[in-house]
Amino acid sequence: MYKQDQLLPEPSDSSISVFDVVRLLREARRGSQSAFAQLYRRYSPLVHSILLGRFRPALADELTQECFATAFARLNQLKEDHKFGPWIATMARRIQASETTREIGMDALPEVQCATASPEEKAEAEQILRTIASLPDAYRETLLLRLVEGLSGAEIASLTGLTPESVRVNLHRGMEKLRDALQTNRFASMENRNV
Amino acid sequence: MSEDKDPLWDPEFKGDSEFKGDAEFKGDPEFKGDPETQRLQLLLAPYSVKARGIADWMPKKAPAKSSVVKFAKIMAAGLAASLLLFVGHLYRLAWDEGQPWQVSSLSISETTLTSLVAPGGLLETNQQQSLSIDVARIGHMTLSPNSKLRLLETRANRHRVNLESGHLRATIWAPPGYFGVTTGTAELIDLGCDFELWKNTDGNGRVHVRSGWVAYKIGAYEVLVPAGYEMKFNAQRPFTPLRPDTNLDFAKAVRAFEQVAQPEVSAIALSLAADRVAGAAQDADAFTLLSLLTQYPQLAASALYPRLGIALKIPSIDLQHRNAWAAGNLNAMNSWWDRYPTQPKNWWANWADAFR
Repeated sequence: MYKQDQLLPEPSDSSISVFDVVRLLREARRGSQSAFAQLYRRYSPLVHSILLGRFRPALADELTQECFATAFARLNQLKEDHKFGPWIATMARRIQASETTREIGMDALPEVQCATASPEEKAEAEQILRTIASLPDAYRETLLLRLVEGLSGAEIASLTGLTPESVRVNLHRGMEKLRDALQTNRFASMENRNV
Repeated sequence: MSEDKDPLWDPEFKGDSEFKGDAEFKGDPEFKGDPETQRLQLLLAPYSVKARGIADWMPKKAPAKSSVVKFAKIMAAGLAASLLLFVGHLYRLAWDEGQPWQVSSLSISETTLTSLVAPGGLLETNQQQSLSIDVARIGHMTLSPNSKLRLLETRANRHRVNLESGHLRATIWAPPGYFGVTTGTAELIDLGCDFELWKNTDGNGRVHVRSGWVAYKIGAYEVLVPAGYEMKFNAQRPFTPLRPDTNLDFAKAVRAFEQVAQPEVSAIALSLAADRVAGAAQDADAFTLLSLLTQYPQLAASALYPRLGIALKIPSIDLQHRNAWAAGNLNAMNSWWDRYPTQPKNWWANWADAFR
């Protein structure tokens, strides 16, 4: 049985329309930091999910902000304002770790502060994260947006620029692969215990 | 699977609170919720941007400069540079009336003496000496050995010298008319250029234009000479400008024409002489033909007119235009003058002269 009273993550600020994004971009280009902060609020789950699938959580946090700082400095290179989401997602996917140790590793998972999580739950969460990180990009990013950031399929489609159909397919296929992988891991650990 | 019954699609759709296991979920398409998804979400929620405390952030780096700001800066820089050039140009043109010019004397012994020449002053060089003269701030002049030059007047927009004899080379970059050299009866007006002038004490001489244009004025009569042409003159009149390297037959035909072109000569004789000029002309002699046809418009009926048309790359002969030219119509003449590659009004295009 799982604790249903634990706080689920609130959905991100998805109330911003494409027109708002375009307007915020124009203001940000003129130097408005608050406009860019609003863009960050909307798109940080997307960037963070991409990076969380590749790097340790603490590093993903740091790189998320680095990615937005770079984007802020390069706003003039964005040709189609309504494609800010895909643009910054590509930027996040291209981030290279300066040290190989920065890449996510099976032994290098996070110290996450969570008052309500038991050590067992934390260990299980780390195992799930590792498993998700091993999935193909499309499934990995969509699942992290859904399961970590708590976004709906519609919000994921809006952020990534994918069609809702693609998001739905990625969610279901990704979930199937995750289940299979978790199941395999479970059997493997049971066998190890029996041995 | 409909969208409103898909808990994977919609996190708000909680369904049953009791976890029924994977097998039950997979086997029941009407299953109203997915506790497994909720379980995963609960386990992974501490890794979200909100839980990690990075949901709010303000960029610290300097904001990107918009292209509008960059454009405005470039424009401002361009404007400032233009203003600077404009002020510099005004300074070049400014000159107090009567203010002396600086003269440097260079003798064969390579010793340089600097002096000043004021209006009325005569500069004279011997056979071993030349002078370098600053023409106010608008240019420079070199006076060759065995020459005599007098400064007649100097002020902001008018500087005049008289070459009594000898040779000079003037390099001027200023609007037309600012600088001029008198040769006794005539005046050579600079139209923004680089030119050389030779003159003997008997009044004979020639002018060779290296860049831009000069206008040779004698009374009401005016001859323009463009870059690449040379014009001879005597005390009474100028001759037709020729290219220094034109072919000898053409030069002879032009001189023969000038001999024939007297008030009492018949139209037929004049036309025959013009036909000989046209027959020896090359395209590069276009300006000589243009000068002759301007001075003698009636020759539009001769072979000069179609030969000039070819030299100026006029597509076809327009009889109406030809008749208008022969009648002395200025518009007809100007339309072909405008076809000449370089124009005297573009003096500022010879900006390189300012640095010679």
